[in-house]
Amino acid sequence: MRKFTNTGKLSLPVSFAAIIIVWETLVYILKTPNYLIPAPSAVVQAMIEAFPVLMRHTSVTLLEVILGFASALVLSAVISLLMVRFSVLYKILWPYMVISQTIPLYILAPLFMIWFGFGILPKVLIVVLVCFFPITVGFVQGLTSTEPELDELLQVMRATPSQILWKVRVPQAMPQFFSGLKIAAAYSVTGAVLSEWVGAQEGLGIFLTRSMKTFKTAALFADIVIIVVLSLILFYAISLIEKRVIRRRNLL
Amino acid sequence: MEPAVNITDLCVSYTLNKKELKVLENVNLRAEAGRFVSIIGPSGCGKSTLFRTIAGLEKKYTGSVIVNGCDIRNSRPHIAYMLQKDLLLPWRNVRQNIVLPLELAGTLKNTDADFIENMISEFGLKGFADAYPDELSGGMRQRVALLRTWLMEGSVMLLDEPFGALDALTRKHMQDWLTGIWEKHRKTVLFITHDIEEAVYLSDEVFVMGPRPGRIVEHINIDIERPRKSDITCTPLFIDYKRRLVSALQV
Repeated sequence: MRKFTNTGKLSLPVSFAAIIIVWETLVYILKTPNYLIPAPSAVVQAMIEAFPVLMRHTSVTLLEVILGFASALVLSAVISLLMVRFSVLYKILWPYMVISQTIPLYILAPLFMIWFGFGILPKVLIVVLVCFFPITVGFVQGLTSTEPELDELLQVMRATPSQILWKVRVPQAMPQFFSGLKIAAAYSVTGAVLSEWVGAQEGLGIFLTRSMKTFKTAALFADIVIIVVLSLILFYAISLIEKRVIRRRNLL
Repeated sequence: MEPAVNITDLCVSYTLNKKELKVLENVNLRAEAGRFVSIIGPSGCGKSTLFRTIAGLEKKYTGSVIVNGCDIRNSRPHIAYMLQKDLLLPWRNVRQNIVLPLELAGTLKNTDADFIENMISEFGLKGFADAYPDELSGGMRQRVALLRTWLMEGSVMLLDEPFGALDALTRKHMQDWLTGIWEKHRKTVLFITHDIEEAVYLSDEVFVMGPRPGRIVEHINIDIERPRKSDITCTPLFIDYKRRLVSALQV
């Protein structure tokens, strides 16, 4: 394990630099037109030029993501706990949750727009929808994966159902809960961008469509870079919180 | 005097693939308070089912199980129960794991902190109270689990092969240690094992169970004086008890 983490520290920046260099060189040698594949340097240039505009769009998308993610987090936690506590709720709700995931987002996004207008609300709802499922799946699985022997031991100890929930099931569910959060975080930005695509005044999705329609491919790439960076920041922020919450369990 | 555990004509059967499978048949067992009683038998003879019934986990049975004068059908028995798996909570350190039963019973606040610390050092866990289960060896984890069981509210302790998963050397060491602890406190212990030497060494009396359907085929009192030291395992008396158990197990 140790060897793996040591080399891991350098391998990522090195491979990343290599990709950028190869990309830049290939574009230069093959004289690829900028509107097809822009060189990394052109992407950087486009980002610098459009920086104030990009930041304005980013702030809108970020707001949607944070609102959506936070609402999904609260909603998932409450519903997961209720479903585990009252199994009849699980039986009723679970199929609908699965169904909600089978409806393509690019159909739901315009529908939400028709129902909730062009403002921020339909975008936030799409983010909620995207995040809700992975968080709930992870949390419910963690909450219900107690060893049967431990359950019996707790019974012999005369633990009440709420003691079992808060003292055993919830702490035990933390690793899976955080796995779900990380998946949700990775998807949330994409969800917001996709919903903006359908119709919005501002946001990274709008910037994306505009760049595409005007063949500003370098700006489009700059937009993608920001989407990736945002997703990564969210992902690693959650990993950081996870490490503080479950310090000891990652030792294994 | 009222026996700590009194089991009469206990029968338990499971339904497996629509066929009735008898697990325990007419088990009769009495354990006086303050005795160390072992139950030995081939695997699958229903020893664990017997414990699960005493602990109130097995509801479908006939016959009667009386723990400290109370029929367990009427009220859930106060029992301390320990399994071969230590079932420690990995996110709690040793001290937090040990006090779990007190915490659940709501008596932790009234418990003297010195008492806990004394028990920790008595169980050989001094210096490990802040360690987490994944930092401990198998033997140490079983000590933690045993101390947690010790602190469970219950005058009868059911220990279901607590040393079953340990290597032979650690196991021997744990037997010596348990004998020492038990001789000091004299709690009522019911102890499941499939190790003949372990049964003779630890117990005041041994019940031998036959293969399925489980029933008691022999009851032997082990009259070896205490305190017991590990060298008694080579005395003629000890070997004689072993021989009697071996032949009882071959029935």
